[in-house]
Amino acid sequence: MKLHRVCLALSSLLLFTACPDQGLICPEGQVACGEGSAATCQEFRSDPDNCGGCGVACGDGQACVEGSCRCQPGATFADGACVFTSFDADNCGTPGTVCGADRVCSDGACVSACPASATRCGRSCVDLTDNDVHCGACDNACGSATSCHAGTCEYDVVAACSTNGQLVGMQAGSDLLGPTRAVGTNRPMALAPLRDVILVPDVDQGMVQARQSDLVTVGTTVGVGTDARFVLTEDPFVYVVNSVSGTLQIFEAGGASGGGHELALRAELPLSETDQGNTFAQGVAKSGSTLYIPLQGGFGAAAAEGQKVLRVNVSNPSLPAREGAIDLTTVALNSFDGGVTLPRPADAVVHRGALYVALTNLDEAYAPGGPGILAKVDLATGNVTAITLDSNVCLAPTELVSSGDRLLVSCLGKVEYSWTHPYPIVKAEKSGLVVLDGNDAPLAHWTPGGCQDGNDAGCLLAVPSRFAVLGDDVYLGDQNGGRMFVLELKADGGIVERRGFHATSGPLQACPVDPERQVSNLIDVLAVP
Amino acid sequence: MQLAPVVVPLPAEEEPVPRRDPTGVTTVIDVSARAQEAKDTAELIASAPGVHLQQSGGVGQKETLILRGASSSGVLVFLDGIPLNGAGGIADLSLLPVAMLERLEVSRGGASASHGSGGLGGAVNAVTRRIPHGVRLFADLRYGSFQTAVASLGAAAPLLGGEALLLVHGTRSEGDFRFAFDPEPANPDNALTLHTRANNQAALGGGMFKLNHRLGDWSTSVLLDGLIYQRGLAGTSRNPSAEAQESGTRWMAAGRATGEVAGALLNLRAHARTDGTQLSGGFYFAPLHQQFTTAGLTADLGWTLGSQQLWGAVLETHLDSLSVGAQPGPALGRIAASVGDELLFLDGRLTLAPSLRLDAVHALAAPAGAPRVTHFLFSPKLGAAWSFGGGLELRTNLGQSHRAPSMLELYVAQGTLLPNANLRPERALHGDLSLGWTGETARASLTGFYGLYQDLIAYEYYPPFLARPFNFDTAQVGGAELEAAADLPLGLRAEGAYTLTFSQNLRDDPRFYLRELPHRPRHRGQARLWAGPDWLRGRVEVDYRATQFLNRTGTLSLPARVLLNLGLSSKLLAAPAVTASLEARNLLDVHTEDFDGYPLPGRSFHLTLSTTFEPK
Repeated sequence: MKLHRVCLALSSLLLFTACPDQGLICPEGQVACGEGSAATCQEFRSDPDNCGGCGVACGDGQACVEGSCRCQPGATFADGACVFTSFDADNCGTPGTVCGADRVCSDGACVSACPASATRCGRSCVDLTDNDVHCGACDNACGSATSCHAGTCEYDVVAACSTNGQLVGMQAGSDLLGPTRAVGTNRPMALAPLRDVILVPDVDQGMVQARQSDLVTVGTTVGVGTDARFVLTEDPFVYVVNSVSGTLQIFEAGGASGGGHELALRAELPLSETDQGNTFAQGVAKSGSTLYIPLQGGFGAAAAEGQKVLRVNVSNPSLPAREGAIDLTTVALNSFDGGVTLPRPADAVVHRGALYVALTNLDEAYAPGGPGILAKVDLATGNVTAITLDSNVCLAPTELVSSGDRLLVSCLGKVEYSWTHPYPIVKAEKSGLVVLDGNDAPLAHWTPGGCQDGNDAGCLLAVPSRFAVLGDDVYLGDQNGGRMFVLELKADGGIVERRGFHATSGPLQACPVDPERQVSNLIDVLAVP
Repeated sequence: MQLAPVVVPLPAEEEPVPRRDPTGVTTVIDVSARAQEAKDTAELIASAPGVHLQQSGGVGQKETLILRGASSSGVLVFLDGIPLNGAGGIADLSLLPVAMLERLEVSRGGASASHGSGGLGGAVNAVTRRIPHGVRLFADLRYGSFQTAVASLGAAAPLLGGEALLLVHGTRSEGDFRFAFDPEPANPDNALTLHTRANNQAALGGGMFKLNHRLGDWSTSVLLDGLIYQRGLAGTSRNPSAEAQESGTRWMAAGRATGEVAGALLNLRAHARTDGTQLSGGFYFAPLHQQFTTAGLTADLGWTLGSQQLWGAVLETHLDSLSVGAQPGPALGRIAASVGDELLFLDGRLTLAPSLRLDAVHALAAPAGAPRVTHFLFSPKLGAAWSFGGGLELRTNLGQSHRAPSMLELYVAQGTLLPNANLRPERALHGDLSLGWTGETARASLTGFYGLYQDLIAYEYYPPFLARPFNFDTAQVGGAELEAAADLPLGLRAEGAYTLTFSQNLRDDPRFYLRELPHRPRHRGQARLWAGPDWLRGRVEVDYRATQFLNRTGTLSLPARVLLNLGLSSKLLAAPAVTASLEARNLLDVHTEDFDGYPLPGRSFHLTLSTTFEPK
């Protein structure tokens, strides 16, 4: 029986080899603070209550920047503290200058009384509509990386980190990032403003509301379709285009509810009139009472479901009606090799009274097979003319934003994956941003730069995603490396990079990169109105 | 269906899988007894507890199994002991026609100790038709809704001093059933519209040849199998494809020799199989051709030590290779050795069965730049069976199983799916406890099971266009299985199976932590009742499946559904034996979907004629 004893012992020994680890894993960019069931995930990068470590709180006038406490924008460091010399009566004008007992500090000067346009808070004269320390009311200080918007503390720019299921806010000008905040149930797909909240459709077919002030989820979640990547808001109406579900939903926002707003579904409209394939809608624009929805179409014969812009009359939001489509197959695509390409529209915007549609011009392998083209549609006549973009700087235009007379176009470019291990994106060329002037002529272009060969160790190529314009600043996301580029549009038409690989300060790492997956998809950017 | 806490003993010359598990929890499904039912192989397997079937909808469309919560790549499927899992680690059961089979053995619970890498949830062995003695001709013909025709013709006769069986079979279906489509999926109040499934046709044909022969003291057998198929890939209801097509072939040859050597029983087996798959049209703008080839040799030795101990040892080697288009692809070599002991105590009423298997998996060829992975997998198991008398028996098993990443997951890019050569093997610690009772006219068993999984592999979005497999950390699956069968007065017979499944993600970020795993319905049950004499025997079947989640956050789900099937069979003639059967499937015309949006057929009707002729 010795033999079977050995066998039994061996089996028993190996049966109970290491048990797998269990427990909560903090999302990328966050670290567990506390022990056991009391553990919570905290972010050290920009959380003023956990700046660089668990429980390390920044003091008054300080913000947490890259894990260390620094003076907030507008504050000056003096005698170990951050002071606001423009309205602090103990440091008025310069640190250490104390106003007399009967005087107040206004615009850096000790005066006897506040001007009529200012409000007195203690011995400070401030404008409650835009003061980050006294925002809306005395001593109501805005948190890290938020700004005072008409008396309410809000982020200026918000980005959606799809890979990590997070939102991150940002302060314009200072380019300070706030802490990342979990949102929705899985992965956010898009961002759209509605009153004091941001609407965030999720890959799990729910659209949540996040408060603009701190990105905390509020209100109720409403059901949307699959791949709800395009949301247009025109208070009180919200138009959601579900790309994979192939429908348009129209919601009407009502009164306040649970910190957010009631959203009632008024209608859902299938975008296809056949059952022969999916339309794969991409984008939505509105002019008058008509929505314009570019349809990309499916593969093979199902491509015929796309290659057009659907018109939907929403004059009665409870009864939207399809009103024909603008045919994009009439546009000369001028493929590079004479082969077949399709328009494959990716976005549309109403700009200077016309509809502009971004045509990616893809071949059957879904790669750019011709130059990027903008189809310009005369809304009165439906006539389509083509604006061909310089194929040396832009391929596959995917998003359009109208900014005054200028039309901004982001280009996905030609993206190639390595077909050898570990399969990174190895090439992303002819990508970036193109600016057209009021005559549709190119004014300037920008490319992300950075490392150029994804095969190189540590090289995570920049691949442009969506972007937002705030004043003359452009905030452009990176869907591969989770970065945010900040560009300044100059009056002479030029582009100056403020945060990016060409600038002194590199791009902002808005969305953390998962060390195992080595990818971070910053999927959308919103400039908070 | 035979409910079998005790593994059914088989005639020596028909024993295709000598590596039986003396303490395993196994359900044996007698296919020949259910030949009149208009069911395919996967649907028959799904009548066992612990099984959850994933269907693409329609005869001849892809079908896979989840067993005890393990995904389809963690369930091993064999045909007479020959592995059928493909390059992706998954076996498509729609390519295994019922006409080829005698019975199905569904072994529930981790099976790596007995069957190697991939047996996380268990193993299914499909046993081919037995060769009857003498000369016999037999044929089955079925025709039904959606222009579905299934036919088989077979002959058995003595040949070359042995016994041979030749079978040809064919299946075709238009698959153009009507299904309910929701044009406004986010609107809870809208009316559904009826659409017709397009590009859902399938055609499959093939043949099987078996020869059993004795060479001196050695029993030998040969199995040859060939199959050709073509089917439309209709896509999901929301993203239909009018053009995508799949066609393929399967060619297989296997041989076995069993004899006694120095007092030990030696079983030598060899097999070779090659599967060709061509995908074209629709999403596959450039036709994609894959050729998966696998070959293996197994030596299985068993000997008795006294009256209370049986020892077994297995040596096994496999070579798998895949070519994609004209390019040579990766190749994996696998070597395994296992030992098993069977110890009898208390006059044979208590059996202890420890076993241990070591698998070494090594990439013999890999794409340029990719590491050639090597994985060593230890799979121990300890089982016990205790017979209390009166037909009552207790069985229990504890073990560890593994699944090495498949060739596709490791090395092959397919459409929008990228591989990941850094994947770790999946691992499961599993246990079960089963109480069974067998009486003269009834059987029942109740089993509790638990599995702790580590490093499960799942595909995840890899922007901007692709998806890629990653390891996820830890999950647990537990539950209970109940099965019972009874012959009742007045010619009634009742059978039933019920499975309760709990699953939970145990290590993840807050989005997924402690959520249920998708595609694991909490409840699943089936009940069947037969009544009437042989000349007119009716049957009714109820199949229930609870709500199941479709995603890892538990926010999307498929609703519960109940299907009702009715059948009527009549033996029209005795010699030659002719039986006719009419079956109504999904009689309540329930419109439902499976997996991630594949509609299933509504109500359908099928007429089956079977005949067997034995010349005097």
